[in-house]
Amino acid sequence: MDVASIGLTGGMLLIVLGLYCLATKRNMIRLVLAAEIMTNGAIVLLVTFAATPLGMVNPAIVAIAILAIGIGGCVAAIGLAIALQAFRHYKTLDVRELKRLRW
Amino acid sequence: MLPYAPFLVWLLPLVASALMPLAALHPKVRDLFPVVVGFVTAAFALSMIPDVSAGPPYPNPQISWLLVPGLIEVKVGVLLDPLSVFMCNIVAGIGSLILLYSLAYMAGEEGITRYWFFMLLFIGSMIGLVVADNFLWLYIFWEMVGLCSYALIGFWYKKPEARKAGVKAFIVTRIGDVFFLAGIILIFLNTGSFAFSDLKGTLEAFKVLPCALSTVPFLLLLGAIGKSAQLPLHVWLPDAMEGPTTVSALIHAATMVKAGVYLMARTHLIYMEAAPEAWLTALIWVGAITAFLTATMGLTAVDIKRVLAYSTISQIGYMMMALGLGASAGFVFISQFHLMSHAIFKALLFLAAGVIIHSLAGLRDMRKMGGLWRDAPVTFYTMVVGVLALGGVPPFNGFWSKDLIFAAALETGNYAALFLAVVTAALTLAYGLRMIYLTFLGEKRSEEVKKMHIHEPWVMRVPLLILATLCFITGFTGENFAGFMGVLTHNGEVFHVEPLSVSLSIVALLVGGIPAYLVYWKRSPPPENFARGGWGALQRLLSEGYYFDKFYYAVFVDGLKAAVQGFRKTHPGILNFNISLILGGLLLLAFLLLMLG
Repeated sequence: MDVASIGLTGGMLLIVLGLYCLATKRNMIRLVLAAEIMTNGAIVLLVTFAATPLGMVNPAIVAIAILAIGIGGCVAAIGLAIALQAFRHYKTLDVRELKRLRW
Repeated sequence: MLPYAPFLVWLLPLVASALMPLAALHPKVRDLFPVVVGFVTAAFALSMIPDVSAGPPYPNPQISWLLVPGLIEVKVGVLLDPLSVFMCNIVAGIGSLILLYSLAYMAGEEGITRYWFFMLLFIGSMIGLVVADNFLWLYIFWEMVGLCSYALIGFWYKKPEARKAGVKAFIVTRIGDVFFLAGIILIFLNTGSFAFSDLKGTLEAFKVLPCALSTVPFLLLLGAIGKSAQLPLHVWLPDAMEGPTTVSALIHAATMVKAGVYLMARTHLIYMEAAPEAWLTALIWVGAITAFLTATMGLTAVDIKRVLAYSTISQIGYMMMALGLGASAGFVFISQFHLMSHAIFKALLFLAAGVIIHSLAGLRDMRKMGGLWRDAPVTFYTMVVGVLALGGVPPFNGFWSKDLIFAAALETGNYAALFLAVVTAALTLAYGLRMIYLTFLGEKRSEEVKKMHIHEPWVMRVPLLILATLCFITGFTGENFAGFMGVLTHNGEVFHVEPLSVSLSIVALLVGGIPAYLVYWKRSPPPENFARGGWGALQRLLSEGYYFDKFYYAVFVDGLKAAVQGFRKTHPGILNFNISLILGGLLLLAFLLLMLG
């Protein structure tokens, strides 16, 4: 198995894992973690695609990947903050409580 | 021409509008500054007349804009020809009188700086619209005019009806604008340029018209239908009466609704002989049917401003019809002549109605008025002049311009359209007289009107008197106007009055005037008789505006809302459920790709 297929398979697995988690779990903190896992899966795919057949890596893509990691961190922070506020308000982390936010 | 007049004439009001917050630091400056700017703009516009009256070639200064070397170069500039200079003068002239009148009408209103800002922006962008020499600028200014009308119709934003009317005007005109934009894109794809002159050149170079370019006039017509409030997109204009009366005067007399007529006249000048026959027929019938139907709606309206709004739609219909009729004989000037008459008498009518509405603290229901002529004599007499001009009574300007339209219909042998036009003329005089009677004559019909004190300050009287004088004068300038527009009517003959069309006008006046006189002045039969039985059903149909509005609300507003509510049921708001559906969808997509790919 070469590096490229390891990267592709790993990235896909991370995304599917995140999706599965989003589809089945109700705890908001788990959901934030799931979203983070999906983001990381996407970044792995991005970096894998950046590799050229000669073993070189396109530096621009890597820069974007680093940027994406930073943004992923921000997203996680905001998601956790929302989860925290929701917990203070509803006294539970069950995501189904947020259904009321639908207009 | 004053120096740099072609650019300053629209840049001046635009820049002045941006300076309004500064001018607002001092209340005196805030009110006088826009009026002065308005009159200076009018002086610039007037100064351009001698430059174009000599005939072609017309000045067309251009600059490079949106330059991408080797790929795109959009040349933009201003085109001064009789049509654009004429429109400039209408907008700047009428606009400055309305600004002067606003000094009294809007005194002490909340948000007056916003009012002056949008009025100046309105006038500036309308002048920009008419002097632009390419479709791109024309479209930008077209949208700016739409924005200003939205903001001014909804000027009293604390009134829910005013807010709704503003949004309605914006959305309904937007429907036409989409088609207009599509037309512009088609022009660019086929000629590689937005300029009028390039389109004209392309049309002349082709022996057979490319299909795309012959659909363009129809798309532009749809844009004009939205902007000029023609059927079936006329519903926004009566509602737009929620704005201040000065705004209605500006929208109806000078800016906004005239933009559609201008666009059609411009398209006509570009296409000339290449204009598709079906397009001209469409212009005639859109105009004729709109003129007739909205005149009947005007017969039953009880809101003084709605009567005027319906009459505007009806008169714009005349202009559209005149454009379509005149095509074979080079008659663009007839519709422009009627546009001038209409601009003058409609500004007069709105400003006169404004005096009444202002004094009665916003009361617009004519059923409650009556007997006001003693309190406001100048307003009464000038409004009578306006109504007679609107109805086409000689010697006022409406008579001469309407007469030319009849003559054009006679000449082209389009008797069906002629019939509608004559019937509309009769209806116009009838609802005009009805409005005069209900507002000014008879007894004061309600307690609140008896208590009110009517005052007409000189700042309001002066524009009324100027406009009333113009109603007298401009009718006789037909020959000079035809010469200015550089149009010979037909067979090399200039402007002449046909006995047959004059007698048709007289017949229309009698048919419309006598019943109105009998019903309202002599009360035999009294107007109340028409509220019962078959007449009552007709009256309800007319006062509902043939249920156009109800229909649009049922289908496009409530229907859309119901459809959206239907979709909403599929959104339970449960995250797990939504994600599972997304997963399922992805799997299905991947499966399909694998199977079919």
